[in-house]
Amino acid sequence: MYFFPRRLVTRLALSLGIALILMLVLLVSLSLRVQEDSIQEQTQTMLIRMTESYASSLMVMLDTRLTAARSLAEHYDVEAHQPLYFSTAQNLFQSVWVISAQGDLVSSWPAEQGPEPGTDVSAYSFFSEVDKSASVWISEPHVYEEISSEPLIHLVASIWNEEEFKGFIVANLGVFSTPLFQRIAGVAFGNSGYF
Amino acid sequence: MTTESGVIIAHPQRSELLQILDTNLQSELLTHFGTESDAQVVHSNFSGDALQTYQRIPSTGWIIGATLPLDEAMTPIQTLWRVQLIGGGIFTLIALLALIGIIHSQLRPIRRLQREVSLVRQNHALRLSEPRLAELLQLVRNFNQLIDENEHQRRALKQRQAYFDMVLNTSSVGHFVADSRGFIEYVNGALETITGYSEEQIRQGQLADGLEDSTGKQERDRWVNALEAHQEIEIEFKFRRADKTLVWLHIASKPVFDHGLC
Repeated sequence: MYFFPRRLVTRLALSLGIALILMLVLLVSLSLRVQEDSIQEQTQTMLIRMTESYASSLMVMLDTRLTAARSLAEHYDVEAHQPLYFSTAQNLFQSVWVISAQGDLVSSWPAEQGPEPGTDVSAYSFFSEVDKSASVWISEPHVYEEISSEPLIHLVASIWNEEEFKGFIVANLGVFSTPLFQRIAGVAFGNSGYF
Repeated sequence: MTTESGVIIAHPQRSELLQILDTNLQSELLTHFGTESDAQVVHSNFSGDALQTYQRIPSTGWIIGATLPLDEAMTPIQTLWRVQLIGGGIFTLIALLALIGIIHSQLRPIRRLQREVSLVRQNHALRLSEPRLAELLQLVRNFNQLIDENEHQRRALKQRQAYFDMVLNTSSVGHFVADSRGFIEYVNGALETITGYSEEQIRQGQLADGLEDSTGKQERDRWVNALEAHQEIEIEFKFRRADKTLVWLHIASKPVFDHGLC
């Protein structure tokens, strides 16, 4: 049954009160929707900036490694069988191998890790995949159980001497142990955001 | 972080390493990145429940991606919900109280008007006091004007009544006023003298006791019939006064019409 109070005060208070509440609900809903969109947009922008920033850092770090591998390839004389010593450039990688054009390991650093010099590595999967014409060719992760259980990513720079192919410099990055990857994996933002 | 072919090489969970990125996501990413080797396309929100951004590193073709669960991203809005809910509730309560107070205060003139009208009706007040509200002011003025006119008419009527009483009371002829049914409502002093009955007795119909014989009763019936027919009539009959003396009475009756009503 239709009911409305007879007293004017009650009528006005009820009508205006209901109108006020409806207006507030509408305003709050609208405001929250706008703020929700705004916060999502801000978070997205923050995430994009963060990714861009880390990508730029990574790019610099990787470029440094690519340059180091290329520099080694430019200055290494395969026929002289030069041993590889610790150097700043070598410290950028987990290990570095020098492989002759025939696929024999000429030299490696650190000496106690990896295949013995003279080992034929032409059966290693990357050997058949490598692009000799590339400045530095980057492989997919490979696992060599006879060397280590850790997957290795090879940065391969071809060694040329007067347009004659002499071999490769293979600079390895361990997927599990390379600080570069560990640092990226360790980045956290918020409670559960990650790269 | 993944290689160009989608093998994961960096991830917080070690079990995810060397896994292949979801093929749908891969193809979607490739679509967004396009064919340029150094593309740095960033996209977000690939899945509905998380905000995600991906960027390709030009020199290697590797892809770095960041993800943040939508729930966490929207945590500030939940806080805002709570704050606005509590704030809105408090504001609504205060606003409602203020609203009721304002309405109560603003309607005070109407409540006062209601009280004053009630006093006027009970004859405890003569006029309504004028409110400051323009809308009510006109109403109150009209009401007061009606009261004044009513009072003026009442006084005029009273004066006319007094004049009428004076005229009738100084007349040597007996006068009475009866309603359309024949009930006497007014008598003058002369009629009391002529009949020997008091005004009260006449109003109570005791004149009928003085009708002397059947002729008198017939004359009374004629008079009653003439009243019902709203006609003039003159009758004569013998009448025994209150002191038992016998007199002849001659009555001339004439109907009075007001707006067509007798």
